[in-house]
Amino acid sequence: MPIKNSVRRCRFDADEMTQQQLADRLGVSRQTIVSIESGKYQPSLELAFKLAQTFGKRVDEIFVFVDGENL
Amino acid sequence: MCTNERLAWVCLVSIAVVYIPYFSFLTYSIQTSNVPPPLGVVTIAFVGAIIAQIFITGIPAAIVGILDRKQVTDERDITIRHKASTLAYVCLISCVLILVTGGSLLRPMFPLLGDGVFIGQLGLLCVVISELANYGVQVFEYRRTA
Repeated sequence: MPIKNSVRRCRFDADEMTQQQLADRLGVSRQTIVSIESGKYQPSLELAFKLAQTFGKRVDEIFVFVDGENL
Repeated sequence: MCTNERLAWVCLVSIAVVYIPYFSFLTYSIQTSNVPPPLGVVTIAFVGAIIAQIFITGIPAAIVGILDRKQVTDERDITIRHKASTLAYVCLISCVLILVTGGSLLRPMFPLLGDGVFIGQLGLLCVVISELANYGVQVFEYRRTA
């Protein structure tokens, strides 16, 4: 996947928030958080903004586009 | 495994468990007598299959629903369902087109294709294949993104 994210790191920084706590805040299932963290599912823009808002960060601080040259 | 994935598994397995024996029975009947079984027999088998599917799908689905009361349908579920239903529609339309064109072209060689009951069963087979594709894709996508 060309888009990497630091959701796991953000959870760790937010007092080690659990995946379930984050899922409850965002109104999604824990499995969706697992999929996003592992990079197997790319969230919608809406969910990406909600994630960023939850951690008090900008979207581009959490999601980073990694093209072939920057790998 | 999330609730929606469990339900997709239940539906996939129930369709396979009910309709594989159903179509095997019909195929066996046609092979042994060279004519499709009478409408009465087909109707009884079909009603039996529907009742079996209601129980095989309904009971596990109810148990899953009771165990996972906090179930959430989120955007990942919707994306997966959308992908699955798109493929299922393509599958259904392709099967129906093959049935209609193949049925009219091959009818002189296979007189069975002129039988209403037989054609009806082939139509049902198209629906079953598309439903298998629908739930199969759902299960595959849930596993892929797990």
